[in-house]
Amino acid sequence: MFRWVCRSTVISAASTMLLMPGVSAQSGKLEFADRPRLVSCDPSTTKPCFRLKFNVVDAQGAPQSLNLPPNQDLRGQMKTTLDNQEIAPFFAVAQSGGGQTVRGRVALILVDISGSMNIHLASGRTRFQTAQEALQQFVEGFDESVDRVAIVPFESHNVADHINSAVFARKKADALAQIEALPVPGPKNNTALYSAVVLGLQVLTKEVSSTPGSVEAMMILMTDGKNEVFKGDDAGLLDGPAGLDAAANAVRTSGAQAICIGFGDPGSIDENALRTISGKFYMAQDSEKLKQIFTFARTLLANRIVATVASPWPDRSSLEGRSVPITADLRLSDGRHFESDSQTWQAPQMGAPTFDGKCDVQELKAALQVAPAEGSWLTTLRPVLVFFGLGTLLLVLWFWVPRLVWSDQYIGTFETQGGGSMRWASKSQVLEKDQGMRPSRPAPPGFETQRGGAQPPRAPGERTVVQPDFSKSRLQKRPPQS
Amino acid sequence: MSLYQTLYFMSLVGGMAGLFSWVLVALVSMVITNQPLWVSDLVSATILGAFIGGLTVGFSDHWSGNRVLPRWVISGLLIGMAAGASAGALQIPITNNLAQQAPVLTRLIAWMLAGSFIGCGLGLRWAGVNPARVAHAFAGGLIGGALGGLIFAGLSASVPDLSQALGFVVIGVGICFGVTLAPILLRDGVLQFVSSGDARAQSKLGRTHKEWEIQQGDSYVIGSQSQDLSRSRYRPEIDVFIPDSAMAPRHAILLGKGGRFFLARHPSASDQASLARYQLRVRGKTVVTSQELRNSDDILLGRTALRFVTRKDK
Repeated sequence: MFRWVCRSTVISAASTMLLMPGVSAQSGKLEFADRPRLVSCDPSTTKPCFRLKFNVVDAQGAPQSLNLPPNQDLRGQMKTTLDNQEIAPFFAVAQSGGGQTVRGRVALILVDISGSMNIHLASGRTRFQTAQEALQQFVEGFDESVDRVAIVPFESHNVADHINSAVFARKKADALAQIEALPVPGPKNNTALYSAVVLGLQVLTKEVSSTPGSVEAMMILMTDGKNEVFKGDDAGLLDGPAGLDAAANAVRTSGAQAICIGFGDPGSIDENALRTISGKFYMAQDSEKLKQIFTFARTLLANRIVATVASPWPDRSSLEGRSVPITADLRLSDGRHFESDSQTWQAPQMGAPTFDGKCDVQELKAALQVAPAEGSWLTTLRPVLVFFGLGTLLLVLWFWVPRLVWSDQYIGTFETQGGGSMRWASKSQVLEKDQGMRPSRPAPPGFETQRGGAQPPRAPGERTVVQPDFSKSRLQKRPPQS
Repeated sequence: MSLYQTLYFMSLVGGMAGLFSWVLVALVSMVITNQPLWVSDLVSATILGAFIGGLTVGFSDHWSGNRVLPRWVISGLLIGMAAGASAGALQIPITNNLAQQAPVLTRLIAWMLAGSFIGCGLGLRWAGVNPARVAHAFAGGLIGGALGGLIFAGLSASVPDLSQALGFVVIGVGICFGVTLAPILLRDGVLQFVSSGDARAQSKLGRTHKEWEIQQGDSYVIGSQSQDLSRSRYRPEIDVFIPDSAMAPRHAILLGKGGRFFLARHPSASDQASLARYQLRVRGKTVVTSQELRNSDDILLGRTALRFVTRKDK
């Protein structure tokens, strides 16, 4: 069985012949293939870590030809900058197959089957048939041990049903069967492009989150037109600028790499919309170009550098309210140098930052070697101290301060047995009333005082004798026993 | 409880709600993984709304002297939750579009949205008395949210945990302070408890010098009906509750209209039998239908004496 992607040298061939010929490898850069993700490497380290994924691309975004060093050396050649602090990653791996570590890969391909896909090309085949051929080539190198791919048609009818029922094939035969099973475009089909993007990303995110460990994800959208939704199509389909915003936001927030492919007549394709949805937009007008673009997409999915870096902050709470700009830098031993643009990791606006996942076993081992387990007592104790500190403050404000501010309301109160408090006063209650004081309850028997003064001290000889009163007792009511 | 005591303690209730919310948010955030950024905010605002809504209703009813009904506390909790969740949901597009360019502003907006929406949810309770209270509560929550957001954004880098906890406490204090302060600031009159021949009323209302703020446009039902008998789901049917056995369940209505205040018998206590049984006097004269109130008027309802004070003709 073929490996989906072989050595990185093969990549260069694809990319160089493809889109941007003649571009120097020296002008390449690291491009984020996923948003920076906060991961937990507990118990190796309590520090929150960031997992970063990159493609090495040239200035135009095409994959670069690189002989990447083994993983143990790659780590030493990478540097990251988190919030202007330079930090070397404790783990780095080039996921390009060929003996390197390959983790899971998930791809969702959305294929436009609107009526215009029936237009014939110069080759005599329709756009739809050409797309099917290109897709077959895409799954040609399917690696059943790591790859999962779903090929889903969309137009403007039953969009949600079709996309939500996507099945991620684990076998090449199943993937090819999905391509074969794509329905022939109907003449009345329109293009619910924006809705397809949003729904597709939901399905992809669900699939990724159901997979343990870190997997590489990508969504490919292939269309020959623009978002067109008319009466008679599904209700509630996204349209207009709001729909475009929703689609672009879905791509941005999911973090998954999205590639848009425009196929057919450039005049009929809404290039601006596709570029807004994803920065990675490619145009193909014939079969060869389309196949090349699919090869290119496959390369971007399969050839990624994953770097995991421990943040300079001791715990997750320390990231509250922060925006962390992240950049990466790869210096190869042959002198070539690749830098990434800055991408910002955002903490939630109100809540505490949450982890996007956990480090896998390899990352945990690497973290243990480089950033051994460390934990400060303050990290554990700080939230407890904060809670008790603020709690105590509130208790003081609740129980003590009011006694100072509204002291008259608290004088002479005592707790009663049934809960709550009662006031008592002396026999001088009437007098108090006359003096403009508030009336209060009479004091319980035995507690009477003179004008609210204290009780006179008891003499040592005084005794309290309790006289039982049986007058109300049931004993009294018993008939006399003879 | 006097107006300023109510303001003070309600603010503390808000702070308490904020602190409990923070604890729960911290626990929940340990469980949430692999979710978009907005999920944490949505959960935080929802929890905050639930705590503030539930505790505010509970304590407010407790201090009114009436029974605390679990039904109303749950209603307050659910309305607070819904308000918080709405704020969290509204924040999603703002975060998506603005967070990268203006992170501090986005944070402030998130806190202000949460504060104002939760405040608005609380204000709904008094919408029946005066719809303007919803707007007052909204404004109060907005200011509280802004203060909480400023603390969170300003201190988070230097004092983690404390910044968020303090932010939650301040937003809670702010919301409840705003909700309670607005009617106090805007009051046109005050109904003061003087004394009562009923020991229960005297005990509940006398010690704390209970006062009720009155606004123009408001309509208050005064009575002795326990909340147990109330059929409403959120707001009390009796606005001025006095547990005096000599008072009718719905004894009188106090109206503020056209810059003047009127005290009228409640229609349910206007029949002949009620006229004979339930006393309603203003300045010592029995009120049969309605009577305009003036500053420092003494009112007798059943065996309870109240005083009406207004700044209108001071």
